[in-house]
Amino acid sequence: MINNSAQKTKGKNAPIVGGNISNSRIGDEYNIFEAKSLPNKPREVKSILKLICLITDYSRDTNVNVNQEDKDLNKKINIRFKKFKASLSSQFVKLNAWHSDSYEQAISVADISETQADKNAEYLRKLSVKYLSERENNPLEALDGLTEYFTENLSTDIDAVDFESSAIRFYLYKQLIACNVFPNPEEL
Amino acid sequence: MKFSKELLISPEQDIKMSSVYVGYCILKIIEKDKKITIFKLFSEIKLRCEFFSYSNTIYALIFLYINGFVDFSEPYIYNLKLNDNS
Repeated sequence: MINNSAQKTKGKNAPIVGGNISNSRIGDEYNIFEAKSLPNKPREVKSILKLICLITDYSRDTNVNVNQEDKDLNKKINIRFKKFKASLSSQFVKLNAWHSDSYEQAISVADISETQADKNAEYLRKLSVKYLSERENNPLEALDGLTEYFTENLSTDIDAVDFESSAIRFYLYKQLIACNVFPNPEEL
Repeated sequence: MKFSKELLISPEQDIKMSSVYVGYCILKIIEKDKKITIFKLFSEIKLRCEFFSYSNTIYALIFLYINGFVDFSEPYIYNLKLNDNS
């Protein structure tokens, strides 16, 4: 709402003098940070983006691992988590139908550097190994625990008005496929 | 952007977001020109790159500068390959 006292100066993107600051639209057309401000993104995209922001925040102190990790999904699903294969895949199929598009959109908008992506992956590896050993090598319970952990931390965030925990779970599944959640131990 | 020789491209990200690939796109754009303005470069790279982001493009430009492919002077980006020959 624009006050009656407020006057619009000339020009297309001119600021409104004397009005509320939120009504000013300075250089809106050329806003290079449009990705960060997320004006009209759907809730699924927002929640994945906020999760990435949170992980980026937490992974500040982790060091980048130079060694190449063993990224063998086939080994992981068919040998290591053989008991849980059916439930893991059925859950992933359900979530994929809902969230795959928003995940791709969030990843392309997230705008993190390559070094930061490495750091995030290293942080997730450490955290997920801890959760897996606590839950006696049950990946489903460990995923539940991880989702809970991130949901709790996101809900304390001031900006996080609404978010979907299933989107968070889908992000974790995607990272599981990329072998950043529950990385294979070397001796497997 | 990564500086280590062993891992120029991060395995955690899509290869089309890496500074190497975006740098390849930039070189393709300035292939025939001696110089190009940064505004034109951004407007063309938006169409060319699948995962466009401003910071990745800046990283790619820095990557090209380190390796001696381009040079800068305020709004212009110079293609050093063509400028050396003339």
